[in-house]
Order: sequence, then C-alpha cells, then structure tokens
Amino acid sequence: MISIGISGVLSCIAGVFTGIVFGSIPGLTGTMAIALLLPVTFGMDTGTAFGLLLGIYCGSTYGGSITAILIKTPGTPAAACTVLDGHPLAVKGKAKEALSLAAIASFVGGVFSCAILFFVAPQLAKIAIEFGPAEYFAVGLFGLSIVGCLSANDVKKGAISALFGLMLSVIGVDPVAGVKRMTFNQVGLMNGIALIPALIGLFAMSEVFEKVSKAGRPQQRIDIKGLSGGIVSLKVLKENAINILRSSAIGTVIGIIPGTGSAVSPWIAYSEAKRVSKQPNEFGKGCYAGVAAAESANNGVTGGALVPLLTLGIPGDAVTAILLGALMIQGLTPGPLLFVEHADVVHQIYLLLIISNLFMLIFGLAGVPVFVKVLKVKTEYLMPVVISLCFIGGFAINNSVTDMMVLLLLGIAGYFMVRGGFPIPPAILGIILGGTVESNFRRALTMSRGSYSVFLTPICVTFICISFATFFAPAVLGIIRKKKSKKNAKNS
Amino acid sequence: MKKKSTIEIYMYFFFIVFALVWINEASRITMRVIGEMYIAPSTFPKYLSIAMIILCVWEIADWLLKKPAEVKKSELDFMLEEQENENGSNAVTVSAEEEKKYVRDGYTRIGLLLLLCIFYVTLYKKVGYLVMTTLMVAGGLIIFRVKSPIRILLTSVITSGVLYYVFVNLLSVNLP
Repeated sequence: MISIGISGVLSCIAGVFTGIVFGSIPGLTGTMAIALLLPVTFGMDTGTAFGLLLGIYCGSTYGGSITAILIKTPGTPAAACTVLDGHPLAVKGKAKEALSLAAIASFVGGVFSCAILFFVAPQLAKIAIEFGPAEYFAVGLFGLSIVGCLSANDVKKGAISALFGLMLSVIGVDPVAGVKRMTFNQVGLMNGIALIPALIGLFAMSEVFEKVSKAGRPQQRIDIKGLSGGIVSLKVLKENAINILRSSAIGTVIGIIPGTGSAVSPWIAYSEAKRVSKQPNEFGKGCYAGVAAAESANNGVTGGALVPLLTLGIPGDAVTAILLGALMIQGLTPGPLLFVEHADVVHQIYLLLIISNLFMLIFGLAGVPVFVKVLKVKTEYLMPVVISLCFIGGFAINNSVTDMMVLLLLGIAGYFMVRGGFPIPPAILGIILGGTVESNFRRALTMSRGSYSVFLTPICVTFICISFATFFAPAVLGIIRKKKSKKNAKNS
Repeated sequence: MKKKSTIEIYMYFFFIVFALVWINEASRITMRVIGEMYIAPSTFPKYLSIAMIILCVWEIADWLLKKPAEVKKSELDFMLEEQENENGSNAVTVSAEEEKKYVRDGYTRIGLLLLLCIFYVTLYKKVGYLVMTTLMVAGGLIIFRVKSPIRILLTSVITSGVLYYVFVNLLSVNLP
C-alpha cells in the first residue's frame, strides 16, 4: 500500500507552483529552484521531499511556455520551440487557447512518461540487481561518458568540466584506505565537499553573479497584454490526439537516453509533427499542432529521465543530478537495490509524479492570470533573496561555515566557467559519480587480487563500449557532418 | 574552431594551476600510506590532474597555433541560434563604447557582491543570522540598483524574517 499523506500532496502543490514561477521568469530556472530548495527537504520525510522536488521539476518544464506564448521569451530552453507557434496564436487573440493546450499537452506528456517509467524501470532494475563492483564501475563510467552529450559542441570543455568535478570528489577521507586526501589540513573538508553547497554554488550562485554583472544594462520592458480567448476546444484536442501521443513518446525516449534532455526533444517532436502534417505550411504561423508537439515532448522527458536515475543511479541531466543528491540526502542509494529495499519509495515517486502533473494541469488551466502577475516582479528584488537562500541552505545541512565558503568559491568558479563556455552539468556529474567510479574500481581490483580480467564480464564490456561510443559520438558526428557539408559544397 | 575568449584562456591556466596543486598534494598522500595496495589513494587524483593538464595545454596550443575559423552549423543549430537571437534575450543593443562601460561596471558590481559575500560568511557565526542576513539583502539590493531606502529596508527585514521563520520554526534548523 503506497501512502503519501496530505503533506506529500501539499508539497506537490507548493512544488508545482514554485516550479511554474521559476520556469516562467526568464533567467530563473527549474534547476536553480530545485538546487535552492534541496536543503529545505533535509528535515522532511521522503514523500514530502519528493513531492516538492518533482512538483518543481514538472512545474518548471511547463512554466517556460507561459512567457514563450505571452511575451515571445521562453522561460526555459525547453520552451524555446513553443515560441514558434505559441506566440503567433497569442497575437491572433488565442493566448488562453494556446496556454490551455500547452497545459493539456504537458499533462499528457508527463503522465505518458510516468507510465513508461512504471513499466520499464523495474525490468531494468531486475537486470541491474546482479551487478558487482566491476559492473558499478562500468555503469559509473557510462554516467560520466554522457559529458560528451552535455557539452553542446565542445567535448574537450565538457571533459575539463567533468575532470574538475572528479577532482573535487576526491577531497576528504579516502573510502578504501581511510587516509586524508586534499584536505589541506582543514577539519571542515574531512568529510569531502558537501553535495548541496556544491550544487547551490555551481547552479544558483553562479547565476546570481551572472545577473549582477548585467544589472546596469538597459533591458527591453516586458510588455504583457491581457489574456485573450477561451480554453482550447475539444475539436482541436481531438485533431491533435495522435500528435500529442507521438510527441510524448518521442520526449520519453529522448529522456531515457542520458545527456539529451528536454531542450532537444521539443525540436525533434516539432519537426516530426510538421513532417506528417497535412498542412506543414501552417507551422510557425500559429498552429495548434506545433504547440502540442513541443509541450508534450518537453514534459515527456520528465519521467523518461528518471529511468536511468532510479535503475542505474545515472543522472541524465542537471535536474536529475540534483534529484540524485536528494535521494542521497534521504539516505537512499539510487540503483537496482532501491527497487528491492525501498520499493515503497519508488512507488511513491511514480504516484507523486502523476499528482504533480495533475496539479500542473490544474494550475495551467486555472492559474495563469496569477503567474502573469508574478512575472511583473523585478529580478533586482529577487536576486538578493536568492543569495540569502543560497547561503542559509548551504549552512543548514551541516551547520558549517566551511560549506558556505565552498558554496561561494564554487559559485565564483561556476560563473567564470559559464563565461568561458564550460558547461556546468559535467562538473556536477563528476562530483556525484567520482566516488562511485573510484571506490568500485578499487574494490573490484581488491576482490580480483589486482587482476584486470574482472572488468571483462559481458555487462562491463558492454557498458565500457557504450561509454566510449557515447563520449566520442558528438565528435565523430561533427567530423561526419563536416565532411558531408564539404562534399555538398564541392557538388554545388 | 571558434575564437577563444580571454576568460576562456584564463580558465585554462586556472585549471592547470588547480591540477598542479592536486598533483603536489597527491604526492604527499603516497608518502603517508602504509601497506600494499593495488591502487593507491593518490592514483586517481594524480591521473585526473595529469589528464586535466593535457587537455588544457592542448586547448592553449590550439589557441596559439591555429587560426580561428567559423564552425559549420547544422540546421538545428541555426534554428536554435535564430530563436535565441529573436526571443532568448531581452537586452537592448548598445554601441561598442557603451558595451565596454557595461562590462567594466558589471565586474565592479561582481567585486562588490563578492566582498559582501565574504563579509557575510566571515561574520555569520559571530554576529548572528538576523543582523547579517538583513545587511546582506540590503547590500544586495543596493548592488542591484534598487534606490528607494524604504523598499531596501522593508525587503531586507521581511526577507530575513520570513527565511528565519521557515528554517527555524518550520524546518527546525539551528541558525546562529
């Protein structure tokens, strides 16, 4: 019997509301919201904590579409594709129709992905239950290899960022030999870099520095006109039913592949919807199918991304990396054993994901006027509040000033990394997976008395091969693309 | 290969220094460890640092030896870029002279915020949460160019009060 309780439902509501607010305000992201509120979940039970975090996850993915449709500014990268048809619909006086269609499509995408998570995750976990240290090392390596996909178009920068995270992960007492490493004789560093201050520093604090550097620049005034039109008609929904389901499936599959995420899936679903449409010329001019495809695909990612996280302990993107930290805070280790030892928690996560999507639909259909008012709050008032929340959140976990210092230093490092074009998610992956990779590698070698043949099991070899393929895929694809375009240029 | 920015180059040097510090510290671990181990505790940090140095030197060599050229972009890259240019930013276009001024101004503000943060972290335990957070929010608002003293006072007092209530009363966290 799964029990969530009233606190779990209330935290879902609070999470969805917060997520939509953070998702809809350009410059604030769902990742930032989850990183900031992670310390708040420290004293909560698992259901309440995950209600809040999954609520933010779902809410922020949808929230980006509000500004995308109303003011032609996507609140999140995932909503960039929604602008193409969402805003022209608003210009035509159909803003409410576009927003309600976005909410319904997001809901279907979210619930569809949750159903896939429900069926696929336990099967994957059954296979993964046989894993030993060597296999866990290979899985960890696979997790790290997705930096290639997380690094946009520069794999070397992604690798440097991941190495930075891995190097930070070795700080503290060595898990195998029990000796101090890289502590510089600081007692506060004996337990290593605390995950939450690191997450808050790299994601939230760096964003504050970015905002403060742009505080004096003249900005275009955000002009939000009144909400026009009514809720989307049943006829439109019927016409787009298959489109929504197809896009949800695309989003879910892309979500399952680590490193791809919600920024890519709407574009693929959109181009697929356009390809099969009877009126492809209508796309980009205010077409309902465009909004439906983009929104169902970006919310389809939410459940899909949880598949590798829960079954293998591999975070597929920045948000799931933070959710991995949240599971650890609750004393849970993501991976196949989670399905055996804490099956109730896994079922709670399924249920909370569905509840979050349900409240996202309710807020999406009924609460848009409220969120439009929230959009008018100026960032210069929000940012100092975010700074305080960062520091208090960083301090609250261990009551440690060292954690606050770590947060500040990583905030500065994160800011300069972003300015220099280094992606942040690989660094987070490095911090999270560094310990797993190293300790399992050393344990496997200890068990085999130093023989590397322990890594030659079929599962290990498969994962190591996939890791290499994943890491080098973007570079190889780049070379192929370059050659093709050269060939095309020659031919023309 | 794209043209590298100054910050990017500085970051490569920062990562090299960071890796050298790690190698130095790792060599000390080796001396402390007693007994036979298949993989010593210093192995991972040392090899990670070496990999970091190799990658950074490679990038710096690229910057020094190769001429920057435009990267061939896919259709999706163009779509995303176009979208970003049209909608992603609400910044107003400014002249090069003004841009320099804004960049300088931005770094000054980052410096001020950094000082404020160091001041906050250093005195947080000694002075206490309420006073320090009120000062921090007030300082932050000034740095973010909020001019009205009444708004600054109200926002900072209300923020520190609400956060105190949430963390201490609802979440049972001990704040100094």
